[in-house]
Amino acid sequence: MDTMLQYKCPCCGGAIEFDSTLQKMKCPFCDTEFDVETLKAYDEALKQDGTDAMEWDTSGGEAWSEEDNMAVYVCESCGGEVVCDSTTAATACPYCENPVVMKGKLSGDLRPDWVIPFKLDKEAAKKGMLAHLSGKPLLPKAFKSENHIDEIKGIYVPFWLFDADADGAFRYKATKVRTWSDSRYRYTETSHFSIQRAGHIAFDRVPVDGSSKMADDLMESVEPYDFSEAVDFQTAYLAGYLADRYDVDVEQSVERANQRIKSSTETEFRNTVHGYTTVTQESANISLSDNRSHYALYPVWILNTTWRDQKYTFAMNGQTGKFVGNLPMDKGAFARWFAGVGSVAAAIAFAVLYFFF
Amino acid sequence: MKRLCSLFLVCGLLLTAFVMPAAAYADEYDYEYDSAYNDTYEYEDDYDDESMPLGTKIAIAVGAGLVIGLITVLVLRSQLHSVRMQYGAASYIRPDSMKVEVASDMFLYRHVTKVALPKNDKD
Repeated sequence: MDTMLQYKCPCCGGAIEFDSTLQKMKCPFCDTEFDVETLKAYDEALKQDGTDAMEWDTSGGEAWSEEDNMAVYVCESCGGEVVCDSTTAATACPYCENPVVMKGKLSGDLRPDWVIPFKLDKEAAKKGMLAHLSGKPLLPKAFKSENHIDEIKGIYVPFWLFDADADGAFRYKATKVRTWSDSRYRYTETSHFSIQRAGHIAFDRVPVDGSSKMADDLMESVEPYDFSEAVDFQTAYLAGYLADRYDVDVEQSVERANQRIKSSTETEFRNTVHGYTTVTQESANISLSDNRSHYALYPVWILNTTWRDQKYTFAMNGQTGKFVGNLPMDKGAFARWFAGVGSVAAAIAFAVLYFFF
Repeated sequence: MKRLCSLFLVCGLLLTAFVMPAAAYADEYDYEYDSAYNDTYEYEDDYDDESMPLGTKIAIAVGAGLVIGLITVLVLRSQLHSVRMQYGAASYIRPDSMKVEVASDMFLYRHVTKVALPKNDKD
């Protein structure tokens, strides 16, 4: 027995019928006409829409042992834990500046696969801080003088690194608009298209912050890191620096990695669609293969400061020198700049209007 | 006698039809020429003043000042915020790894709409 094939209108979603006068498919709801072959191909494209498949193999690597001589320090104020080698003594918590106490020797935790050693020293970090505070008219002048720049600390932050090969399939709706006029009317012609793109893209070492004590947005702001300068981990690299102990495991970090990979895959394929007035994504599905996760330590210079009961945290990429950190705003300076620039602009606009219009 | 009267009548008609208007035109021409030369011509003031009212100019200038002032301080304020989540992972795409295996652009349908142009009512 034949089954009745029914096509949905790409314009309004209604059920399309064959118009024997036109010898074409026509939607009775929006009067749009289609070729049969076009509808068939569009229907086939709709059937290929699927769902994402972004699972990860999160089996771990080597663990620390007591022979590595790593000491764990804990802050009894905020609960933060840092790790350093036996030749370095931690005295103050890098998160809240309160004293830390030694908890014991580190063992059992996952040992990093790689580390990017510090490339910039404390002097470079201080210069970065001063440069970050300069050239900002809305920054309160007192803030520049009251921060404790000497308390800037170098800390290795744990990151989960994700490698993946992503296969993506996308469908878009696009339009081309053309206008023209004659003596009586202005005409607008809108042509509608269905666009498909599918292919493959690979990602290497997408980092996700493995410490709940380090704000994720702060750690993502100091990116990117150049992995070509990473080395196999040795405890000797930690001498003189603190290392943050990871407390966000890889399963919890996978979601953020998936989000970033998906966003970039959608953007890269969307950029292959050219020549249209508007393009709207209708469906996307991404599947991952050959995906792996690793654990690494990345260098960051951190400074915490409190000003007018508000905590401000600054971070500098210990490899590239990129400096980030939100700053307070002087509301008086905001009002003065608004009034000053607005007045000058209004005076110039009035002069132009008065003499030329 | 009749011929003389006819002659006077024709002459009078000719004077009325041609010579007097020409003389009047000449007088008017002389007046316009002299007054234009002496810059004393009285122009008929039927020209409409189409320049913008002062109140409108002030309103536009104040509006422009507010907009430009606001844009300026918002740009200066954005300098104070440098911490934000990354949108994607563009920095971590393996070079030359992207391959587009399916690229299909399919025409579906076309709509044409028209809007009547406004008619000018000027004389």
